[in-house]
Parts: sequence; structure tokens; C-alpha cells
Amino acid sequence: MEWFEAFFGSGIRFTTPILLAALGGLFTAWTRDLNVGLEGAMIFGAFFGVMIGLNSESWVMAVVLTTFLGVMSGLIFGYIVAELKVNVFVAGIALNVLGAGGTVYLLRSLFGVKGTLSGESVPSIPRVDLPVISEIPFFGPILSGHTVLTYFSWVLVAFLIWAVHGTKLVRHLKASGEHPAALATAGGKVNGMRIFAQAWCFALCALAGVQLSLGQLSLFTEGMTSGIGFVALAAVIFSRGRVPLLAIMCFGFGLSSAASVVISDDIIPPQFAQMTPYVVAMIGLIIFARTSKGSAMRIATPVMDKL
Amino acid sequence: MSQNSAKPLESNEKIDTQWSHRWRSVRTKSGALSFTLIFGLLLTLALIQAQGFKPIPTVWEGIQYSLGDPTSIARTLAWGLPLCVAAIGVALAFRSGMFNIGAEGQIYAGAMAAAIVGAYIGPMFTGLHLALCIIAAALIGGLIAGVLGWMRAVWGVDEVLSTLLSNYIIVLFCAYLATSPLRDPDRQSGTTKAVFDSAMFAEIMPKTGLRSAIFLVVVLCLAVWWLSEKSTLGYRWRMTGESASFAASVGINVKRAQIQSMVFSGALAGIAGALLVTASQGRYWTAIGSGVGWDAVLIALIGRARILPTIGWVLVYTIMRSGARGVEQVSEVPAELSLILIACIIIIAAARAGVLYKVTGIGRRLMPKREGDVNGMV
Amino acid sequence: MSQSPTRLVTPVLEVTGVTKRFGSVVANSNISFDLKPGEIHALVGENGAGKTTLMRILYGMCVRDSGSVLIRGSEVNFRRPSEAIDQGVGMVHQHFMLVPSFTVMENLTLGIEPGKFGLFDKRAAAESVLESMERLGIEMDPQGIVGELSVASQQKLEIMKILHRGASILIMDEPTAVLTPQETMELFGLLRRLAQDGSSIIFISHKLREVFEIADRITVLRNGSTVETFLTEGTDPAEVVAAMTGRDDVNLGRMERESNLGDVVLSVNYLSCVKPAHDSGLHQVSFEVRAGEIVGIAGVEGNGQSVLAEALIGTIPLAAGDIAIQGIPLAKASVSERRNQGLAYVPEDRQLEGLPINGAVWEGLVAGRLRNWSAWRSLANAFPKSSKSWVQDLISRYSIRTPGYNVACSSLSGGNQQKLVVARELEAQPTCLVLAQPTRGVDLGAIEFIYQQIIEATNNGCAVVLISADLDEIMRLTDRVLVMYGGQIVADEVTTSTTREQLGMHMMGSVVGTGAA
Repeated sequence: MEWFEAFFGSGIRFTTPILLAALGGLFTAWTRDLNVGLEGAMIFGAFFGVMIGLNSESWVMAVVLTTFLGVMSGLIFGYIVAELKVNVFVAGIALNVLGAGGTVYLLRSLFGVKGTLSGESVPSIPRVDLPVISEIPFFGPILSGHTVLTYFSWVLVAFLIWAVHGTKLVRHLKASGEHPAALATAGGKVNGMRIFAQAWCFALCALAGVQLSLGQLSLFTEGMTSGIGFVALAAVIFSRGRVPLLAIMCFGFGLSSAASVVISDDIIPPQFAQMTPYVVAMIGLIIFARTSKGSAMRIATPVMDKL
Repeated sequence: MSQNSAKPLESNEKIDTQWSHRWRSVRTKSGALSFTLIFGLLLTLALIQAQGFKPIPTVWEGIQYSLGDPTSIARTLAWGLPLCVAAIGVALAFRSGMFNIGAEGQIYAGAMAAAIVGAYIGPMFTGLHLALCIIAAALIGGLIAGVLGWMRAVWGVDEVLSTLLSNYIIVLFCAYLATSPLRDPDRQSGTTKAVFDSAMFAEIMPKTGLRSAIFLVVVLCLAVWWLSEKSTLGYRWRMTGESASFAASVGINVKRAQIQSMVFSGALAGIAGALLVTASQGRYWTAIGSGVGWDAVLIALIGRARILPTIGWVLVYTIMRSGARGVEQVSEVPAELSLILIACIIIIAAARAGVLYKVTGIGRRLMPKREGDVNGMV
Repeated sequence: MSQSPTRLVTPVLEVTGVTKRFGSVVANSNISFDLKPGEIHALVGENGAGKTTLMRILYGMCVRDSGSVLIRGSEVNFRRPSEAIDQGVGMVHQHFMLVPSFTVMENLTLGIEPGKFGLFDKRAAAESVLESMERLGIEMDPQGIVGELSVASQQKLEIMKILHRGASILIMDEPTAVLTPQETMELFGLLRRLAQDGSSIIFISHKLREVFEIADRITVLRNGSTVETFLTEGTDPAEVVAAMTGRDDVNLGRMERESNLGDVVLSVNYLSCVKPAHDSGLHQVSFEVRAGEIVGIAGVEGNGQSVLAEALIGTIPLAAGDIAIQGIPLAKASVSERRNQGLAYVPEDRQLEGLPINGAVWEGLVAGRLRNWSAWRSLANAFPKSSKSWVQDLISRYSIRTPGYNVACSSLSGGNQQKLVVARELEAQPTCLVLAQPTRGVDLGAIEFIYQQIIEATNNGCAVVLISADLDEIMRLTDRVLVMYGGQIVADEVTTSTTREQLGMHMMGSVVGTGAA
């Protein structure tokens, strides 16, 4: 049963960044400003988490400040998209390139390092042993012992499931995407909603990045997000904007990422195991397309003339 | 504004206004270009200053490095060849409404195909060997993109995500090939056998890396320009990209146009990968692509998928990248400067209309509208 | 005859000298009119006359450049819709401001949701909604999904929305465009009731027949200025049209022409199609059209007309049945093959389907010429010199006002865009022409021109199918009219032997007299 524990335990661990990023992207899906730059936001979060952690030697500072930076960046991004009318797809692609290039740039210019930034003074997010739950046979060890951020993501899912019907905010977010004119004439603030959604998205992606760098490995490597942002994007699209479905899909992707850890190199070469989440996402994409009727959530690609 | 007295414009009148319209659009576009480039320059100066180096001399060094003498120019051009081919390939697909973000994967696949054909077949007459490598790369790239395009056309699978995911799958697969079955035993893991000399383009200028591949690239640029902007096939692809319902309505076979454009796009990306092997590295190794595919996507977006502007921006970007290397050599500013620049440039180019409107209050009509924005209400 | 007030009443809304510019375009110039309490005041004008801009100013979506707007005697200058609604001004838009996936209750309370600290108190919301419904005498299920409601119900919801917020001045923008004659009667009944209870209504429309039925006064706009305000009882449609167009020779009646019917050109047999998202499916539709004949397909949108148009041109597949042009079966033929057999199509959404809206004018015109170029010819120049002069000639023959053939189609006015589509389709000398809502959003001058072109085509033996939700258009132009309801043909009448009322009954689904073929 060690295998089982390792697989599901790893699965939950791998799910967290995907889930956080997806919950961030969800709001932008509701406002129909789908942010395809989740990858870029995440890698910035990972980098700044390690950088602030190194300087402050406190994981709490790292988490809080990185999130704050995320919110600020999200506000700027939201302003660019909502007020300056830059196409959100273009902005997202630019964000991804900026993330990849920018983190390498900062790594070299601030730390003089190529490849990986690590060290003894990089704090890691502590694992929490849940008092009662860890006693449960079989499931206990799987559910307990994860980082604070993992548990936070679970709480967030529950909160959002309630918030969809219990808050005005979510109503307005959805209205601003589905029929902005209706919201505007009803006195709501459409651009305010759009900017808020981006700020939320960046904040959660920053957290996802911090979980990746400080929570799992206590270091930063160039390109460490390796496509997780796109997997999260796929989850957002498959879930058609529904929170429970989103959580399940993220967990599915998390498990398929764990496959590469659990399956040893003798059975199949490591690269094939690493392919699992992407292949799963691809298959999911095909199923999603074949079972959709008409109004599937298409990524808002720009009309080339109106850039 | 009354249309009641609708009469056609007199022929002289028509030509005048057609030319003045053209002149106005040229002025707007060059204004936009200068705005963007000036912003880029300012950003560069600021970043260099932030590192503690003197901005203007450093930038000057960079320009010298990239354009200072024929050797530099040749070196700069050599770097830009694969990017150029990939970018026009991506632009071709974008024009048809097919957002091929999988250029990166197709480049890797093409590089691998060329490396295999170049190393395991032959040696033979150079022209033939190169042709085989290029064709193999084009076929594999075209096949991959074609399948993804088919999935979009027939099954409605969103090609943005599918091409994105395909990148990772292909790169991993190629990494597997380079670390196990096709690995060169004399070299570190992840490198394949060197290709035969007959599978390499001849050097034009020694020590610059500029090879005869440049002629191929020029021919491809011309051919793709003609195809996209002038030919009837290109017309069908453009109309499909502009409005698929219009295209279907007038009898264009939309599915065929979508798949065709993807195949050509993938083939070009594959050729770009082949160039990386046959005009540069001489073998496949795991980081051979190093972001060329992503750069191609970004440049195609900046160039609005029009072939000539895209080629123009490839030149600008290549000079920037080359210049950034030059800057890195004389200061500690990393060469990734060019990546930061190009990402910011595209944002600023896209935001120009918005900034103008905010600052001056004019040009509301230039502002793009959102879906659901009835009567421009939001 | 112009306005002669019989008694002096303080107007509830007074607009004086309002001007608004957008860059170099003057949308409103010195507009003045007033609205009395309890009045239904119609605002008419062609497309581009400035009605929309004026309404947006009144409603707070737009700020005027100069002039004054007084509500109950005090000056107002709305900067956003919420300010307008606070003063009791509410607008019922032509394209509804309803979020389709939300419930009735959620739409009604959007923006004014009860609840503290961001929480949404659904119970309080439901209570206030039920209370409003009772007060206004409109019944609807608060939990119903708006996207599933009928168009007429959605419109009632729109009205309820603004009344729920206390609007006493209602602005209605082309409300009858989407209603059957009977639903229009219902709406008018509601409006009269509201007027009696103290609301004042501005009614924007281009349908003069209805304006004369419902309005107390009529204000005419032309080219951005007010021309005149008429008392409805003191004027007639001809005078109003003359004011709208500045011409006195506009023919609003039936377009007479020589009727030389030939053989059957288009034959549709038991056509059935699967139901798509926003329309009805088709069920065993059958009819025939002869050369030189104009057959109208009437019916309220959503009863299958769009699907019929697409099934005819071939952009959607048939589930059953057959289509034949001059005897050649085409059910399995592609769009291209059908066009080769002489089929031409003017789609209902010209900006999406009729033209490449961001593309060049020439790109919109040459589509037909390039259609059959295949293989090597596909690599040839799409726009050679010969095509250039052909396009030039087309532009002048169809009086398309454009600075040139290289400009974007989006820079043309609605009427010129439609003329472009018609030009392209007619140049192919079709044997069968299908038009869907061809004059929607098109000014009177262009409408006249397009009708002339259609008639000329019939003189050349073309069979014409005219799908239109505008009954006046059907009555003016067609030889026969078929009514569609629920995806089926429910009536087949000779146009001159039937009346609007009878057709209206068919459009509602009530069977009257002769049924479908």
C-alpha cells in the first residue's frame, strides 16, 4: 500500500498549484477575459516567493508579499485589458513570454545565477499534521501532512461553491462577461469586475507559484512551471465555469502528474510518464469538444485586424 | 450623412479619396511604429541604467555588435533565419483564423526529423541530402499541425489549447529519442549523432554562422507572401480567418481551408527546425528550439499576421536579440533583455489606441469592441 | 400640420437645442422636443437620423455637448444610466439587456440586489420581485431561465425591470421589431394602461402604421435635426414620410410590376432539419417558386426562417427531404455546387455572413468570381487587373458610396454594405435568389434601390424567395406569401388576396382558413 499512499499523496501535492491557478483563471473565465498567461503569472510567483523568502527568511513574508505583488500586477494587467482595450489573449501570451524571460533575467542580474536558485536559507512552507484526520486508517496519511496552501485551496473551493449563489459579486462577475451591456445599464461596474477578476487571478497564480517553489522544492528553477498553467487553463475550460467540476478535474490532472513520480524508469522511460498530464488534458479536450453543443467556451482569440 | 441622393462618386473624386485614405493609413501605421520603437528604446535605457551601467554607451555597443560591420550583420542574420521561417508559418495560420501556438513543438519535430535524415541516411550529394532533410521536416511538421487542424475543423477541438499541449508532448518525446534510442554515445545524454557534412548548408561567411540557407529563406518568404496576400488560395484562407460564416456562405470550403493552412504552417515550422540543425547546430540536442516557437508566435501577433510586417518585425527582433548579446558582453545585463523588450512592445503596440484615447479623448472609433458590447455601451 | 397644444401642461421631459458631435460627425444638431405626462410620443426617422444618439443622451450612456434637458422642470445631465434611472427615466432596448443564463429574478434585481456586505439575500429579492409583478399585473415564474423565455416575454421582463426601479418615463427602442401583430396589440394595450396610470412613453419606431396607432404625437428627425412635431390626429403617413426623407415621391404601397411567371425553378420537398440552439428545426417544409415569381416567407423570428435560409444555401445539412433547382437535386450538394446551379443568397446578418467586415470592399465583391478556381489557378493572383475594372464598374452601377475598393467594408454605411452584398449576388445572374431580412437597418433610399434590383432580377426570369419578419415588406413586394410557425409552413396565400391580420393569425399559430401545403 505504500505505492497507493505515495501516488495519492503526491497526487494531492501536485494538485495544489494546478487548483490554485485554475481557481484564479476561473474568475477570468466568468468575465470572458480568459487569461492564458497563467503560466507566466505562476513562474513570477515562484521566483518572487524564493527571492523574498531568501531575503526575509520567513515563508509567511514570502507568501504574503508575493500575493500582494500578484494583486498589484493583476490590477495593472486588468487595467491594460479593460481600460486600454488590449486583447486579453495577446496580453496573456506576452505575459507568458515575459515570465519566462523575465525570471531568467532577474535570476542572472539579481543573483548572478544560471539555472537554479537554491540554498539553505530558502525557507519552505511547513507541512501540517492534521490532529484528528491523520489518525484515520488508510486515508489519514494521505490527507494529512500537506502544506498550509493545500488546505487553503480546499477551503477556497468550499467557499466558492457557496459564493456562486450567495454573493452579489459572483453575479456581477458573470454578468460582466455574459452580457456586459445589461450590467452597465443596471448600474453595475463592468470594467471594475474585469479588473477585479484579473487581480484575483494573479493573486492565486502567485500563490500557486509559491506553492511550487517554496512548498514543494524550496528552490527556483528556470521554467519550473513546465506547462502547469496550461493544464490549469484546460481544467477551467472543461469545467465550463463550475467550481465542483473544476476541483475534480484539477485533482485528475494532479493524479496524472503524480504518475510520473510513482512509475519507475524500468517500466516506461521517464519522458512518457511526464507526458501523462498533457496527454490526459488533450484527451479531455477532445471529449469536451465532441460532447459540447454549440456554445463551448472558445478562447477569446483576437480578430487580427483589430489588434 | 444622407444616403438619399445616392450617386456614385465621380471617377476623379474616387481616386483622390482612395489615395488620401491610403496616405492616412500609412501615416497612422508609421506613427504607431515609431511610438512603439521609441518606447522600446526608453525601456532598454531604463533597464540598463537600473543595473548600474551607462545606458547610451551600452546600447551603442549592442548596436555595434549586431550591425557594426559585415561580420556582425551576417551573424545577426544567421540567427534570424529559423525564426523568420517559423514566424511566417505561424502568421499564415493566424491569417486563416487558426491559432497555431504549437510552433515550438513542430520546430522540435522538424529538427529531429532533419537530424535523423541527416545522420542516418547518406552521405550523398549535398543538394539532394539537404532537400531530403527539409522535406522530411516539412512533412512531419505539416502532419502534426494538419492533425491538430483536422481536429479543430471536424471535431471542434479548440486549436489554441490542443497546439499548446502538443508542444509539451512533442518536446518530451523528442527528449526521449535523444536520450535513448537515438542518442550519440560519444556525447552527453540528449544529443543525437552529428549529421553528415553533406546535410549541412554551406557557409557563406566564415565564423558568422551565415549559411546558404539564407537563399532558401528568401525564396520561402516570397512564396509565402504571394500565397497569403495575393493568391486565390490565400484569399480563401483569409476569408476563412476573417469570418468563417461569410466564407461558408460564398462557397469556400471552410474545413479544407482550415486544414490546408495548418498543414502549411506546420510545414514551415518544421523547416525552421530543420534549419536549426542543418544551418546551425549540426545535430539535435534537447534545448535546440530554445523558445524560437514562442518568439514566432509573438512576432506573428505583433505583425498582425500580415507577412511583410511579420518579416519586418523578425528583422527588428533579431537585431534586438543580437544587440542584447552585445550588451551582455560589455555589461552584466542578461541577454534576456530582448525577451522582456519584445513582450512589452507587443503590449504597448496593442495598447496604443487605448492610451491615445485616454490621453487625448479622440479616436474612440479606433477602440476595439467586446462581444456583447451592443452599441458600444461599455 | 404642426403642433397646436390644446391645453398648457408642464412637460415631464423637455429637450431644447441638444447637440452632440462624434469627431467630425454631427449626430444630433439642435434637437428640441417635449414629452407631456401620460403621453405616448413617437420619435421617427431613418437609420442614421440621430434617434439612437438622442436616446443614449436621455438615458445617460452619452453626454451631450450643448443644449438642455429638463425633467419635471429641473435641469439634468446624466453621466451614467444609474443617474437616469434615479430620476425615473428607463429604457427598453431593442436588443434586450437580459443575461440569458440568469433567472427572471436575478435579472430583475441585477444591480440592486438586496443584502448586506456583499451577500445576496435571495429571499428578499424573490419577495420584492413577486410584489412588483403583482403591482404591474404581469405574471412570470421568477425562477424561470430568461434564455428560455419567448421573445415577447423577455420584452415584458425588460419593461418590468425598469418599472421595478420606479421609472415613470419609458423610452422604447423599436419594440415591435420582434413581435407578431397580435403580440404588438398586447404590448400596445400594456403601454396604454401604463400611460393612463401616469407613465410617459417615448416610442421609437420606423413602422409608421404602428406609430399612427399608438402615438399621441410624432416627432420626425432627419440628418440629426428635428424636422417637425406632428399631432397624430392632424397628419397622415405621407406627410410624415415626406418629413423623414425630405422627398415627396416615396412610394409606400405595393410595388407594381409585370408578372410573367415561367416554369418552376426552385422546388423544396418535405425538408426537415435538426433544431439548432436558437431557432426552431424544420419539419416537412414544401413549396415551389417559379421563374419571375417573388415568394415571401413571413413569420416571427425563431420559427425556423434562419434555418430554412441556411438549409437552402447549404451551410447546414438536411435531415430529410430534397431541394431541387430546375430539376437538379441538390440536397447533398455543397454551397459551391448549389451556387454553380444558379443559387444566390443574401444572408440576414450582413456583417457576419454577407461580407468580410474587416476585409476590403473588393474582397467582399470578388468571392463569386473566384469560387471555381481550383488547383493551379488557386495560386494565381486573386485580384488581377481585369477584376479591378469589374469591381470599379460594379461599384458605380450599384451606386455604392465608398472611397475606393481597398477600404474596409466596416467603413460603409449599413445601406451601402447591403448594396454590396446584393451587387455580388446579382452579378452572378442567378436563377434563384434567396434573401433573408434584406432591408433590416437599411435607409429608405437603399431599400428602394434594392427592391428595384430584385424586380429587375425577376424580369430576367429569376425566382426569388424573400424571408422577412417585416409584414409591410412582404405585402409590398411578393406575389405569394408562406407563413412559418414552429418550423412548418402553416399558410400559403396569394399576397393580394390576404390581409395583415390573417397573416398575423397564422404567425401566431392559430389556423385560419387554408392551411399549409
